[in-house]
Amino acid sequence: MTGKLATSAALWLLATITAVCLLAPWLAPYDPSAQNLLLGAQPPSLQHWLGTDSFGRDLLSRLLHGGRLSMLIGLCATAVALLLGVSWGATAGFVGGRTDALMMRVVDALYALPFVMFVVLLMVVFGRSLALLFIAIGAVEWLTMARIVRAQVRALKQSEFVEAARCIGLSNRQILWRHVLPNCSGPIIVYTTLTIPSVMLLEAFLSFLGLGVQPPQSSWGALISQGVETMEEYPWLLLYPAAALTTTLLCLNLLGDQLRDWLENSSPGGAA
Amino acid sequence: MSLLAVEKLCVSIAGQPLVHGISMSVERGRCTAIIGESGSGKSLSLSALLGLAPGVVATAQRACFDQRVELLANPEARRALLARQIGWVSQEPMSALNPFKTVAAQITEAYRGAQPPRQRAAQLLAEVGIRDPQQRLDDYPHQFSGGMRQRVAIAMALVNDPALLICDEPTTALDVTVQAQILALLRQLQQQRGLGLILVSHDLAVVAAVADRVHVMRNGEFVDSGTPAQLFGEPAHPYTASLVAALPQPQQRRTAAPTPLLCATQLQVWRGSGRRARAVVDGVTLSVARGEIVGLVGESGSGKSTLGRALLGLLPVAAGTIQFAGQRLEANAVTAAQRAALQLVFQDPLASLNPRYSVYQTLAEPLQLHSRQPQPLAQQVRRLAADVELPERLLQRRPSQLSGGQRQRAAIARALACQPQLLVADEAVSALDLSVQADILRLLQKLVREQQLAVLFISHDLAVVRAIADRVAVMCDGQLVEQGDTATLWNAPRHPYSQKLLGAVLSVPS
Repeated sequence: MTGKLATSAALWLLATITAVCLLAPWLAPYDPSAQNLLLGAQPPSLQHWLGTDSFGRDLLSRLLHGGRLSMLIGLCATAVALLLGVSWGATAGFVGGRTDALMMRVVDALYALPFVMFVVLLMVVFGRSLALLFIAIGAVEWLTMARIVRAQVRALKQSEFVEAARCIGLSNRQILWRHVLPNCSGPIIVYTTLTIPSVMLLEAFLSFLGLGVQPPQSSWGALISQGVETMEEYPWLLLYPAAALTTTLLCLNLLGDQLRDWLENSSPGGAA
Repeated sequence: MSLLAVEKLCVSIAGQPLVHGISMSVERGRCTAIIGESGSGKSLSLSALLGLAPGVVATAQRACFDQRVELLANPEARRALLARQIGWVSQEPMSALNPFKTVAAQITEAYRGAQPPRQRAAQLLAEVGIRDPQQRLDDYPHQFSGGMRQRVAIAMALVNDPALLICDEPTTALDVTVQAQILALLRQLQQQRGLGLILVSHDLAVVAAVADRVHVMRNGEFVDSGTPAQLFGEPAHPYTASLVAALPQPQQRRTAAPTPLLCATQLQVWRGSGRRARAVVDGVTLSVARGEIVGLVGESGSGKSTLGRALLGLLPVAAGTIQFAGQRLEANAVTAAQRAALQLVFQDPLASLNPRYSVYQTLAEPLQLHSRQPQPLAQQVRRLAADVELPERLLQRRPSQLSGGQRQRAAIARALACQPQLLVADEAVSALDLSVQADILRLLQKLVREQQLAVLFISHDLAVVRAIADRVAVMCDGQLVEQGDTATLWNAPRHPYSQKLLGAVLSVPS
């Protein structure tokens, strides 16, 4: 019962946060990058609900706009991971043999690469850009997805209904699309919901290191990074962005877990 | 004096009554059997009685062991009895044993006697007929065959010299020859030790071979009781009569086409790779003609299924040739027409249907691929469903929402959608209840008659093969040791292996 309550609370909270962030251009009380040096850093007040930073920018407005970017990155990088991971894993698992071994060794090699090094290298070679951020994060997150999908596909490939499909004369492509992939949708969906928060966390981490989103744009990670610098003087600049990020990640993880339980119980042979 | 007396046992799960007041008794040295189809509550009643099923509420007017202990009123005493006086043998010898413990450790885990445990284990292994018991004490379950594991499980149940042994489908997972050995062992134990035996089974022949008294269970009630001879010889209750009638009966012979449709010569199929590769099918010559059913029998691991798949062009052959309808069939170059003409029906209909497809989708898929008929797809699907006597209202259901028989009908309909000429039925009725099995067999025979199908019927169940097949081939270790007309082979098997196999078949007295 408590699980059900927590799930619906998480769902509502997440929906609210997402809606508010998406509508930031209309809801935000101030321009997020409008400076007011005379005002300086102010603690939360009636004019500025979450206070202002040392340039006098309204934190609430920056938080809403930053959330928009964080979520955008979360979704896009997850989409990259999904696309790459599913196609790579499904191909390796379905073809099998040497192809499988070769493709999975590539995954192993990429796994072994230190992530931060990889991103720094990318930034140095190609310069800092938002698109590159999507690619960098997506390129790391697809590895686990590929492994999960490969394992599922390999197991399903042995199943009798796939043999039956082969027997009625379907081509490999048809078998993969109609019979194999739909039956591993459970784990794929669950892992996707768990990837979104982990991507957002990565983005925050990179922005915190100064490798991610560049000013004047801001994301939650960038806000936290700026907040840390003045943590002792102006604690609210760290507190609110951190709270927003933590709440969102918690909600997403909770929903992902719940979705997994639900899919495991409801689909016969679907989820692992 | 009755060892176990149960009166009006009721069992319910989550407030839903599943067993409605059954009464039975067992005497020392006698065997009481409960027979019924899956879901009738046979196993549930016994496990509830012994407190082995969690979340189950059991009540009874009387459930008295050895006229002393009330089983349901006294859980502590019941637990003590389970360790010393009551032995339990379950259906699956694979999952009943712990794979991480040696058999000696498992057998003596609950031992309370004075002997050294290893000596006791060796003694029991010898008693259940395992050769060289001293050498096998430290072996793990995977080092034993299925029949041997079931013997170990029986030894485990006997460790404290129980007075009562409860066997839940003890031979269902085993081959016929092994089944005969296990049943002989049970009978011998019952006589030598004066054991009371409760046997749960769905197999009339097994029950008839062992039991002194039989209860027929249906929907949580005993509908009929008596000695096997009374019950099966002149069944009084309509349900018992329907069970007996559902037993496979030899049919009149069909006339097959004179030229074979499929003809395999000196076939050899290898499985595995590298050093572990071995010939699973070795030098098999076999033919099937239109309008005939050829039975393929043999024990598990004899290569029946591999042969079936090779004949359909699903597995590459290492040597030999397959001629199908006058053309050579090769696994890596199967034409679309050949693929459609050669179809397979599997043992487990649930596993062979895509869990996410409705019956309609399952049937529509091959039709879209192969059908050249002008009618709309929906109409063709409905006709196909009618052909296998599958009600139209089930078309939108998923496999998990169908019964075993309905699933197998859907699986057969999918194969028929390709308009096959040869159907390989790999243990197609083995997972089904007796009455459902009879229906599916009737359906197969109808299809052979009306559509002039050729069928290769692979089964380990000899009674079924005898009933349905025109010719029979006996397979042993990858080779066909004998083949011939069903009646001839049954009456006078020539090869020693066929003799052994047929000798192990149990029959219901009539």
